Amino acid sequence: MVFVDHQGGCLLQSNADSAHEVLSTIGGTVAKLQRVRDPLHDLIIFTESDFEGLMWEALNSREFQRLRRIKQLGFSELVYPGATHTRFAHSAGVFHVARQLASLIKTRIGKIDPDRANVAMAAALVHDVGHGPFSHAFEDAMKQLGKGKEQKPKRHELWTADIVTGDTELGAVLSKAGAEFRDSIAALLKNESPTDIYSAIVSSQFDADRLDYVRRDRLMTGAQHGGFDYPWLLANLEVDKIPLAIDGEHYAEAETLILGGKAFQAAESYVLGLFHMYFAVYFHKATRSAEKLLTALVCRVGELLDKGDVDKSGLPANHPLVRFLRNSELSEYLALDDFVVWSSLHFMAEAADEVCRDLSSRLLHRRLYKAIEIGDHFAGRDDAVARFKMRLREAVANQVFSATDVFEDQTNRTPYKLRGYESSEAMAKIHIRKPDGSYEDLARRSEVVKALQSKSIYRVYVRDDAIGERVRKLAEGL
Amino acid sequence: MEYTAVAELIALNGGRLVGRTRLQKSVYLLQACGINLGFDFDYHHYGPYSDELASAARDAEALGMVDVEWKTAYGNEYAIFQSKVPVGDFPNFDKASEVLRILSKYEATVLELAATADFLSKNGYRNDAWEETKRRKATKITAQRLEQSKALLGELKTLH
Repeated sequence: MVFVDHQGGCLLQSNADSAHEVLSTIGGTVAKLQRVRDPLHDLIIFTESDFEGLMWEALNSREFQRLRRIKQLGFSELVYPGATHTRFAHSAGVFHVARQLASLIKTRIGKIDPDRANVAMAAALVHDVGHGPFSHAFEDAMKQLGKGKEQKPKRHELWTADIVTGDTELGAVLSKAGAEFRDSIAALLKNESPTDIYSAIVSSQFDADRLDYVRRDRLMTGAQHGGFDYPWLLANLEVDKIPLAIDGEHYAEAETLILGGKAFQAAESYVLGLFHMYFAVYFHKATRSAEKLLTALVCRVGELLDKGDVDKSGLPANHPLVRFLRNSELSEYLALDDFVVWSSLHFMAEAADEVCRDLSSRLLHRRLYKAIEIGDHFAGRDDAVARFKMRLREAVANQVFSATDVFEDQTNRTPYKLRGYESSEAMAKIHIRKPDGSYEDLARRSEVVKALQSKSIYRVYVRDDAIGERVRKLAEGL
Repeated sequence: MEYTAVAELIALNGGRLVGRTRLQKSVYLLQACGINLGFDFDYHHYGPYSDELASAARDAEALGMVDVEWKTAYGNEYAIFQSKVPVGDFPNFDKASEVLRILSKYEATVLELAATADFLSKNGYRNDAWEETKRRKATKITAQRLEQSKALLGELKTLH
């Protein structure tokens, strides 16, 4: 499987005979140049080359087009009205950045493996096709419904691999370049640790996904945090080998992208920018409140289905959400998107079941649960937060609160993963070149990054003020 | 409570346990051997992982039941957990001790591979769990580690 770049760019060129084979398999027509106008990158061009023609075809498959109906930031538009950008636009942008990174790797190492580069760029394009509606909120619901069961729900990464290798339009397009091509894409997306420099395009501190979303989300939300010098960062990316270890035990080495010393300030801004985006946008209390409501709502429909009472949810038996909860097959999963969920709320707002009625009506009209910032209240006293959690969970277990009176929300963001969980966090570090040619961890070189502390959030969302008062009382005396 | 289970598990492991990977995979494998500590595992980037366990470990530290010391090796920091509580009424004490004794013979990467294969065998890969483990963990799964991971699961199976 080899593609030829008709633009004369040598990036992807290897041999013309193989390219002819591919050309014949895609119908003998030379692809037409295609352009997408993008708010972040301006023109994203798909050239007439066989490879980019195939990528354009992949973009037009029904599974990829579904991403037009899945918003990149889910409920963030309830806070930032401009944040209505879709995973479709993001994915096209990720392809564009992946192409820049592949070109940069070629320049840095003086050669390129066109097959591996094509697999990485294709993986970048399709990396999000497995996302469900309201991605993380929906995944959390599946996770809760799977509690205590041996069979666990799939995460979106695995749905992506299933779509790429399965009996789908996208799978059929990709297989025009050979079964090995799409298997390699799925393998790269599934692989949890880096295998070579090309995997850095899809998984590293400077992967195409992150380099697109941080800037796109900033642009579309209108948030002024999170800015960094993208062209300078890119201009200073280099390739080097780093050690990988688990629990202090070394297990391999891998090539990845590191930064030249001149990008020191850009690296600091990048770390700080991403950190700020988490608290200003991704962890915003109103967004997370809406996510909690949706998670609880989907769980409720699942519970009603288990009891044989799904009609009480207000949804017809053949509604895509009900069909998926009954049978979690790929075809049912692909029928779900944000639009399906939004429209289902109108049905559920008239449900016989009170929980479905209340939660869906709240989501429709943005009547969200209010957040009580317990973590902030105790201002860094982790012992008091732990004791509070114990009290709250006892109160819920003793039915002092009903299952939908309160929702806990705990999350944590480490600005810089000096102490990340597990091996691949070695890939989550930023390594920066020293004057002597070796490299070191940014956190050891930068006083700013070194000083950043991990920030935890622990909130309780409450249904009304009276419940809020009772929750606040639980915090007394701690 | 969950944090008590974490502190007591570390106590049972001789009072000390090295690394969060080892903690996660030890609890997973204990539960796979029928010793239920009440944690629910999903598939995370690196195999079976429990959010509740990660949170319980942080709470145990916050409540002073566990001390966490950080060390650096190969440019990465890793945690050393020390329990400050007695073992207490640990469920299925003898079997749990034996499982931990077996796990202590293997490196953390082997625990991860074994736990992953076990999880996958129960989640859609009954017949090709090892093949799928190889696909997902290509960098980690050397021939030697694969053999050790299988040996580890074999040893645990004899305890059932």
